[in-house]
Amino acid sequence: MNLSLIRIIAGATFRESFRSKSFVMLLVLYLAGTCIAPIVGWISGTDGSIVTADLIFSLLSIVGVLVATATGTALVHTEIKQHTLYTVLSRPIHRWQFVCGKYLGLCAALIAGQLIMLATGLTMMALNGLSLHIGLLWAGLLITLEVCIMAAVSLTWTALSSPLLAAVFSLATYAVGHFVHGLPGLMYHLEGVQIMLVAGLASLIPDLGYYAYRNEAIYGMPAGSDELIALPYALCWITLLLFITTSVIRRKQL
Amino acid sequence: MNETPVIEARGVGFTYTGNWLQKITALHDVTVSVPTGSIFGYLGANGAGKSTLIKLMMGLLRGHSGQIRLFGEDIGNPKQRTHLGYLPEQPFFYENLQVHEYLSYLGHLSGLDSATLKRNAERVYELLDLGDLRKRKLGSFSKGMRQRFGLAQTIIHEPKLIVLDEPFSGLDPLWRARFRQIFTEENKRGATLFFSSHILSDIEDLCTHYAVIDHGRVLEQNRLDALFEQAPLQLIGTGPMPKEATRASDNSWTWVFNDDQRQASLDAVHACGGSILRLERQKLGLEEYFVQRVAEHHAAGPATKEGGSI
Amino acid sequence: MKRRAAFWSVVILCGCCVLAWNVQRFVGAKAVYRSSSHLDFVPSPAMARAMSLGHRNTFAKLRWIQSFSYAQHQFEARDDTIAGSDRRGGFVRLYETLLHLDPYFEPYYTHGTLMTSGIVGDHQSALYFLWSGIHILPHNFSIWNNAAAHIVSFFDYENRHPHLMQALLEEWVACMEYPEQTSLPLHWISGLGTRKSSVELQQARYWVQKAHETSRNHWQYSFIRSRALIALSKLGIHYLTPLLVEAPLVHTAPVDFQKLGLNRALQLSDIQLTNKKTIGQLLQYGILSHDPAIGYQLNPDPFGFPWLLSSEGIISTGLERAYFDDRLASYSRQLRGAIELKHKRPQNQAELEEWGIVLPEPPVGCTISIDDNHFRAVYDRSASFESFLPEAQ
Repeated sequence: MNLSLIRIIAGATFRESFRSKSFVMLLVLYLAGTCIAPIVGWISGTDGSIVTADLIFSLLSIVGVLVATATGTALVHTEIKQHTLYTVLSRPIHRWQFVCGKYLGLCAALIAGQLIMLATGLTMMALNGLSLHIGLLWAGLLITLEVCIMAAVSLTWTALSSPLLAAVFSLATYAVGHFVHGLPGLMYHLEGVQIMLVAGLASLIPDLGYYAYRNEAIYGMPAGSDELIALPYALCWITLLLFITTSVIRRKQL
Repeated sequence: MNETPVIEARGVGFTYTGNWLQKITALHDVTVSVPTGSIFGYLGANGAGKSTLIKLMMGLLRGHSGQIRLFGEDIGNPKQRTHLGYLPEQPFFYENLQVHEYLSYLGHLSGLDSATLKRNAERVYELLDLGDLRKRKLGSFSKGMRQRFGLAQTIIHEPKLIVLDEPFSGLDPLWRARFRQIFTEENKRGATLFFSSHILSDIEDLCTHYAVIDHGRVLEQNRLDALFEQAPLQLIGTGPMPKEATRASDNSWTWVFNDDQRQASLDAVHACGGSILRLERQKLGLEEYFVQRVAEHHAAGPATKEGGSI
Repeated sequence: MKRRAAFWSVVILCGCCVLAWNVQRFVGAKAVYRSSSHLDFVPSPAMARAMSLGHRNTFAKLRWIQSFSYAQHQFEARDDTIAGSDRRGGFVRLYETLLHLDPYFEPYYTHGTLMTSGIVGDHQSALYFLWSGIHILPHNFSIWNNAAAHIVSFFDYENRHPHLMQALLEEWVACMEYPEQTSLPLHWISGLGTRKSSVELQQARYWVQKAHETSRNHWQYSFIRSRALIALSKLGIHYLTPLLVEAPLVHTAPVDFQKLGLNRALQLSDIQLTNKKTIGQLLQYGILSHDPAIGYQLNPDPFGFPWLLSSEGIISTGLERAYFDDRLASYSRQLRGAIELKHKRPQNQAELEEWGIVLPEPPVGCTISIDDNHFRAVYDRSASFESFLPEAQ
């Protein structure tokens, strides 16, 4: 297994993604949103720090997911559509190395973007009077993990469908992924087979509720068991999704 | 010249699955052999199946029948591609990478170490006049510039086999000539070149071997000089002329006949009292030959033209 | 070149026009309170949690901010059942959902109490919110303070269940993280059962502190300020009554203190001010002021109106007028309904009575006018007593 090839592909993908217009524009959107967030805090009539922090964390998650979806869906599709991967796959590399390298490069770009956004967001939170603590960083890390899962989801959907559909399916996966976390609370009127069916379907979707620690971190609440399994849970899903993507890409006629 | 073929395709067939599971056969029993050190022209009209065979060789398409061997080994092992350079048709590249970054990326993927890469990069910058553009992002490149960069990435690792899919597409006459020169130099370096093209005038002077493909079938393959030897003789004379000859605008006449009619024709000229100015082999254009050959294939009927609608 | 210059001139001119238009909208603009009689879409807590897609806090806060216009409406309407899908009011449903989504945000508890108890008089629901708050945020001073004041004010625990009240205050002390937070409940415990001023003092402290904490531009400020003035008036009545009982003054009809000269120097010797703590509270909250040259002086009531003395005790005319304003709000609702029905405004008192709107007798010095489509009470303002409130600072 030649990991240096993956590193090389990841490096080029990182540069390409980090410099892409959609990536930069979404970062700018986040920064604009971060600057506007305190206004909502003022409107709330409270001291505003908590409201501002909530909005900034939500923006961090939403913009991160949008970047992951936009970049992730465009990544493989552009390679196939514009034949950029011809010059890469005609080199001595396996397709799984290509997919893994692409994914890792994309994740590196997303993580870099998330770090920039998190740093800006925390600065804005501090300026608005929120006392910073380690829990906020942990919340930011979990959002980044969520974004990395969404990048893998986008890659998988792109491998299986067109980029537009992949973007729609990815965002739907994000919505359903959060919805399933609260689903057990809504199943009180179901019984027997219905419960099994709903639970079975829900199990096929990554439960993104594990990555919403931000809701508690803002108040300085300690991380719970959910947050501790978030990392292995993310790694399992990412591995599974990359396996599916690689399996599809390996069989794909280019 | 080593006689072991660098590319060997035997009975290769390939069928695409299109929309709604429609089956489209692109290659039928294709057999091609590319000798090491040759410059091989793989000729065919648009949609004849040229790119399909190349993509199969590159591992970009999967699921063919028959056998394809590169460097004497069945394809499938990516390591074979270490010594392979590929210029796809109308290449696109990552828009946000700079020329030197992209070359470095692909060079490293081909297994070059940094020192060799640096040396080779300087060579291709010079060959393709990209030195001043090394910091430019590829997104800003014109079609011709992309083609130049495409060739740069193809030869950056000094491959033993260079596969070029329509390499002259988008180039101005000056750069076409330059490309031909580079190909010759690469061939002299020891590389085997495998072209696909439908603009035959560009490769006519370059190729040592050729194959003609139409509707997914290889109609013919041979050495190019053997093709020229098949051209008819042309006798130019003055004075009385045989009745099969054609009068030229001046006082001379021309008579075209095949090799087997050579002696009989000379006797006929002497018999009628004509004078022979010169006897030469008529010049046969590759393009004319290609058109003639494909037309014959089409005339042979639908049974021979099952595929090719790609 | 000329064409290019003309083009850019037009573009710049258009840009300037748009900017100027937008800026002029803000110049001299007055804040308009948004008032909405509907509390649109309050999903059940579980559904709201699922719908928030992980952004529970943000979802809750944006929903909360959106509900302000409904709260504004309820300041006048005081009929919360219109927004409720069942017998519970809209506020209860709203705050139940908000607290389920975002349970650690303290303002929900205090505001939920304010809305349910202060506006629509649902003290049970307010207590439920405060009790939930104590469970979720046991170290939060404000929620404990609110809960204790609420229990005393609306459930009279100091008198009815003093031992439970004491247990509550002790629990409050135990839950506080910093020593300075325990002084209030400890003080309260020490005076429990002997110092009836606790209720009024708690209320006054709470609302005055709230008024200081709230920005004057905030939509709730006028409400909070009015609550503070009411609480201070009650405090004043509570403290002044025993003082004046000792005073050599007996009146059978309401009398203006000022006319009686009571706001001249209130000398310690004149009225037997024995409790120095009481004087301290009166000074702190501006009921009295102290001038070394003159001594203690009785200020106007917190609304800036005179104190009156009747046979039943001391009356804060400002408080009476505030109560009258509250009563007038319900008549304003009737008036709006009638105007909408008849498509005209009443011309005089007789027409108003024809419409079935009989206004109560206004307090002394009050005239009632119809402003737009609601009643407005206008009072003589002969004195000002707002120096200790932030508005006048």
